[in-house]
Amino acid sequence: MILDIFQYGFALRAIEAGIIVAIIAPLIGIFLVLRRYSLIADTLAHVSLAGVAVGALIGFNPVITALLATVVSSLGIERLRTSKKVYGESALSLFLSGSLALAVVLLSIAKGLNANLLNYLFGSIVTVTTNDIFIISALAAVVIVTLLLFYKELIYITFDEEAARVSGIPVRSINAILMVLSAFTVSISIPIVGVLLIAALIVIPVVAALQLRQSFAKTILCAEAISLFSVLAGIVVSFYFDLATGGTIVLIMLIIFGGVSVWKK
Amino acid sequence: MQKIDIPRTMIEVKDISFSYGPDEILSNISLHIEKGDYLGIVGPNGSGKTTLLKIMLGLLRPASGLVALFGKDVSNFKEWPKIGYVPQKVTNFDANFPVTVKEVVMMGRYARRGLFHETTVQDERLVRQVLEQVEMWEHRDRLIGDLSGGQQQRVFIARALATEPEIIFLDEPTTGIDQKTQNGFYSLLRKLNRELHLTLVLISHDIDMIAREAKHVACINRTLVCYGLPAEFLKYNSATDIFSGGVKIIAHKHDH
Repeated sequence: MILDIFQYGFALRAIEAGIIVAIIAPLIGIFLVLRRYSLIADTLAHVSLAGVAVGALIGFNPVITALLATVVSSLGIERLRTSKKVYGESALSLFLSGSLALAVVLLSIAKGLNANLLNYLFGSIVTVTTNDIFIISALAAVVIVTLLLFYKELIYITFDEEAARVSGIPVRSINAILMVLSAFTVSISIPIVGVLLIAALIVIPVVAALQLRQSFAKTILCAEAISLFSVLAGIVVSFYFDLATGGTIVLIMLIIFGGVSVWKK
Repeated sequence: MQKIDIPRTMIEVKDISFSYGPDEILSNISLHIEKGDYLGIVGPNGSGKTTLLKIMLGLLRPASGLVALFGKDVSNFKEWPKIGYVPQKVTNFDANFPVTVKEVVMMGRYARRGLFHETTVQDERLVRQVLEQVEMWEHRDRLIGDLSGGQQQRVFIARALATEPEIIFLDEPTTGIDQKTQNGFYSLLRKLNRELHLTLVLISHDIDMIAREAKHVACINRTLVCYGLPAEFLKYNSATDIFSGGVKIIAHKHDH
């Protein structure tokens, strides 16, 4: 029997959240990917798991605790990286393993949350609450407005950091802003794709769009199209076939990436 | 009444020293760049030319000494749009970066616009004007990575010009570019200097070309070994052979 996806409130909420996430992720992703920062998305995702664990433990909305954890860590990572006391990727490793360890310990204290945990790890359209939608929309608005405000500075720094500095752009502050926005984006994406696959959402549509070799503006548009299609298709497919939403979305993105790569060869 | 063009000091470098750890890269360098000058900074590999340029641009902080841009200490300098910068790009360039020629040159306008200001039709017009100046307008929609080294360099010059600077710094702009393209490139620089009265500071290892093109030459080898007119530099160089085994000097006619 075929169920009508639009009859279900949770499915509609998932679609709403999915559209928001699909729009935001590539906007941040293009700057992270081009600056070889892709792994920051993954690291912040693991940090967000620790945040989720804290939320679960104290009974607070996990999206909010994840947001706090990722924002603080993103600034910590940037600080460690620019201090040059630790190599960039070592800074990421410290945060990645440290937060995962913290999450595991916290979750072992709060026993009985294991079923819920799977939803946070891999994403599930059932977990999206109306409250989540409200938080996600607010965060998304902040991300979009901030990106628009610093769009030209971000492009310049991403393309040529040194020349951007010589032209008087406050590179350090803008880098910090990008990190905080990445933290926001990761937190927004948790309910839909889950902690473990957030990085894929931020990175894959951009990498696929880059294969098309277009202008910066067109590359963003292509990444947006790939992202929106994959997320919506992933939600619908996972709904009808009872699959994990996050995994389905990421697999669809990878198929598109593969197709684009082969076509452009 | 006759107008008198009083020479104006644009850049003052006083007793600059710089070290990486215990290794002294530069010691006691002083330079003086005036409006309309065309200064060539030459020196063998590892002589500290690029370090000196980065100190002048405030990208590196000297251990001691002073840099003043337009009469202001570099650490307090705010009028960055007055300065154009063409970095050493050809060698360390991400050829897959998704950005068109036009988008690159528009970056030059960002400094003029400042934070929170969108670029305008006026900026578009200026981008067209500078791209026509460097004869790259027809390539405006191509990706920067798809151009030849010489074309890329012209685009970076256009980006520097788009900020409407009074002085342009160029770091080894002809690295990896064939001789014929280089000649065209130097005649473009000559035009900018002679016709638009832009002040130029050019780092190069091509002493032959610098001696022919620049108005002044500063020869650096961790310290300032020779500073003056090209003819003086050529005389000094043939006597001391600082570029031992390096580039050969051929005498050229000066036309300025």
